[in-house]
Amino acid sequence: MMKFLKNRVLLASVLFGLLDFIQGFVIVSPILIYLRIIYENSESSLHLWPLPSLDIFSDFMINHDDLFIFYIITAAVLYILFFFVKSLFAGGIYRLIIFERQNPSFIGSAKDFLRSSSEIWIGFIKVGLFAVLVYGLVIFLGTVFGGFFGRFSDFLRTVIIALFLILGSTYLQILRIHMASTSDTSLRAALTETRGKISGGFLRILMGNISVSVVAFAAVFILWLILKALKSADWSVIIMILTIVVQQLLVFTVCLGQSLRINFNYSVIKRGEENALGGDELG
Amino acid sequence: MIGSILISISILAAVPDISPRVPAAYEIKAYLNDSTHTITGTMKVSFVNPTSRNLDTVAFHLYPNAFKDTSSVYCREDGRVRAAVERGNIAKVEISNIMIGGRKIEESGYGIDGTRLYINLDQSLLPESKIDVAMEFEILIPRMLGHFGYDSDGDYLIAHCLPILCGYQKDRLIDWEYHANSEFFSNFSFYDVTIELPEDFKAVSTGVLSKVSETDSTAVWNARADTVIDFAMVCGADMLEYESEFGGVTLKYLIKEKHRDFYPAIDSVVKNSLQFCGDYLYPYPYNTFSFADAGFTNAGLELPGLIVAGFFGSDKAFSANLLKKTIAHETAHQWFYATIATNEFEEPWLDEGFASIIEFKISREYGFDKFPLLFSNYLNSDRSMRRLFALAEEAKYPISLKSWDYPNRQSYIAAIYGRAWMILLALENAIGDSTFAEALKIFAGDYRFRHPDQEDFVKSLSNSSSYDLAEFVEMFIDGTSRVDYAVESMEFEKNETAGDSGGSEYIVYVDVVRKYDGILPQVIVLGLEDGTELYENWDGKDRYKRITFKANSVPLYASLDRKISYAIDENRNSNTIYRKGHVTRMISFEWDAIFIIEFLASILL
Repeated sequence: MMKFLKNRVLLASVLFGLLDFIQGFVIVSPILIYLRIIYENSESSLHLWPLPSLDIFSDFMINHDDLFIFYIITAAVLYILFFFVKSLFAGGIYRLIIFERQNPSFIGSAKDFLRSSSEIWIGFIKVGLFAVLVYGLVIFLGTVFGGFFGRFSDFLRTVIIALFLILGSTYLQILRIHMASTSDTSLRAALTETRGKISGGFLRILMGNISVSVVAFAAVFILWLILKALKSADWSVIIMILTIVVQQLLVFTVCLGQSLRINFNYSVIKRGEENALGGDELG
Repeated sequence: MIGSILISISILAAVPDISPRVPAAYEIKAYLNDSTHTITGTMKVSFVNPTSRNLDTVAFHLYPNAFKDTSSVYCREDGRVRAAVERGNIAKVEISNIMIGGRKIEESGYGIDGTRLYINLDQSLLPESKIDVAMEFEILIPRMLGHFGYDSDGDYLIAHCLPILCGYQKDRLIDWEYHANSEFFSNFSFYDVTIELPEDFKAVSTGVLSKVSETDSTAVWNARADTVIDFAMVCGADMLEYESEFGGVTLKYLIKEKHRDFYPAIDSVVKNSLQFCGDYLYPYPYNTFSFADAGFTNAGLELPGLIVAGFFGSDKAFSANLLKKTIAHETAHQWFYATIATNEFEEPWLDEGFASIIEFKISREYGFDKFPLLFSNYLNSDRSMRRLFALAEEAKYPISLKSWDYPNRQSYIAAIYGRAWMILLALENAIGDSTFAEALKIFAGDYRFRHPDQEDFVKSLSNSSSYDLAEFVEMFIDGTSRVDYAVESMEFEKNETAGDSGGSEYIVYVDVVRKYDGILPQVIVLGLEDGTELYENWDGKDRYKRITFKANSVPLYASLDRKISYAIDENRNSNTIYRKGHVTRMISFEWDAIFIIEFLASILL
């Protein structure tokens, strides 16, 4: 296990997953507390598997619409607040991925991690805000081009939209990688200085990110089928535990895909070599 | 399809025996021009005064005029139709050469008021006296508007467009304008219609339809219908004809080529629905039943002896089940509308409410009431969706309003299709399934081929049940009462005297509350750890009631009887309380909830 975590990419994936789990927990916990109060001693608690029945949803929306609206606002506020926390730790995780043991900036302890994270926190916040613009643009372009190709097939439409989303996500990763590797938190500098590097290795970046995304999608799809099979079974404690394990594996798979892409993109931009696996610690 | 369609009249060999129960006999002759989408022709109708008073005028419906221009009541009430009319998709009916008893009526002798034609009579028409009216008409058919028109395939739905007599109900002339929410009312009549269609057209209609003759480009069809409240037809070239038989009834199907794979499912559900309604009410009274696919999407329309249903265009379980439910609903209308001909203008809940409750019974009986979504065991029904839709309106309007008294279509549908259905379910639960079924059968039998109203229904049901219907009607049919019962708490203590007397070991106190004004009888169930259940009836009238049980085992839960399960109860989550919470179930759900956000967050990293 410890050997497993010595791999920078795997450790980063676990940390990303942990961060996502905390985010999920923080955002849904206010409503979960209330739902626990109203459902725990009720028969409705027996109808929450595999998903809450429409009658439960109806009863909730009709009788607790004020609570629902209040929760939506609360969740939005928590999401924004957690954005700052996530930006802080994401910086550290990026550096964990890209700095190898021989690098002077290598993160060797929790203290290093926190110090390193705080150095580029503000830059990651800037990229996070810039992401709204980038994702807005790629969704628009994806929809336009997807709409055109969608006339031939729905599958093609989905692929085109996904391709644009990968492009947007990759660009944002490259900006973060630049900040993490240079400690320069200027968004303007990141935008200008990465331009040449991207154009130089655009095709390799594109193909590499698509390859990782396709493999990750395939893995996620297989796990989804397993999850679907589990959810199609009657509820039991064992089924519940297996479901939780598969759900967390799903998240870990996505995070692993993200970490691999970060490492790959850094390899292409900074090192000029494709070392996506993050070292040979796995032996 | 270009060309003109000749519709010729066949003079009845013998005039049907009209009477106040079936007061009209129609003979129709017309031309339908497929290129101009018009029907022109003549109509002769023999009419007997079905009332107990003298009549000075006779009134006809001119439904197509609702789409003549944007000043009509219909267009003022329906923005989408108004926009279509503004874009030039109009319909209208023009009447000329009106004759009474062979004598031509001058223009001053009649008047058109919106969607109604009133002809003044020189002499009052005495009760049970007969009069012959003839007229020529020209109908401009629109692209599918309201309940008639032609669709994108060029197929026609000819319904609610012929100039037929306004009906009478309990001596009262029902001559309302055609409203956006309203459907239909007319008296039972005889129809003899001979129609000449293009040679490649197929058709189904009300009554018995047969091809009489053919020329190079056209074919003549004749339809005869006895004791029906309207005449309607669906025809088109892009259709496949199927024929089947059920219990002596000829079943005819007209299905678009692109939907041909649906035929076996349609035939099966039609037969199942006819079987169910026949057993539940009375056998289907006509000798033909037709189904047509007429260009609607996910919608249906009831017509006498003919139903129309729309398609999603997919054969997946979800859409197939929706189609089956539509067919079941429209078939149920062959009883509650076509033969128990209530007034859809003024009391739309009477036919739609009953059609809905029967639709749900049919879908449950034949297994298409649930839709698997996402996971194979995640079964939800449109019963849940209908309940949500109806409850979301918060019972703002009584179900007994006239169809146009609802402020918008959503309120109308929520009340007439949703709340009315929940109220009839509540009534069924309150008086018991078997009593309700028996009472409904008696009501249906008594009012078959008549025009009952709410009063008749209540009176009939009161005779069949000891339940206080007056209070029920006041709260739920004429009123806007809401329902929410809850089990507030459950406590128990050991019965110290039990050891000496050998009686119950535990005394259990269950507190139940009524939160809203609606009152419905309840059964309180106490579930015990040894697997037994104890029951206690409660009339549901008190705001709060403590019910004491003596039990031999520790209580597990207290519940309002799940077998009753009032759909109208607005919070069924509070209907049961367990002594021990389902902690692991909740943890399972909580992990699911966290996972959804966690997964989304991981993608958006």
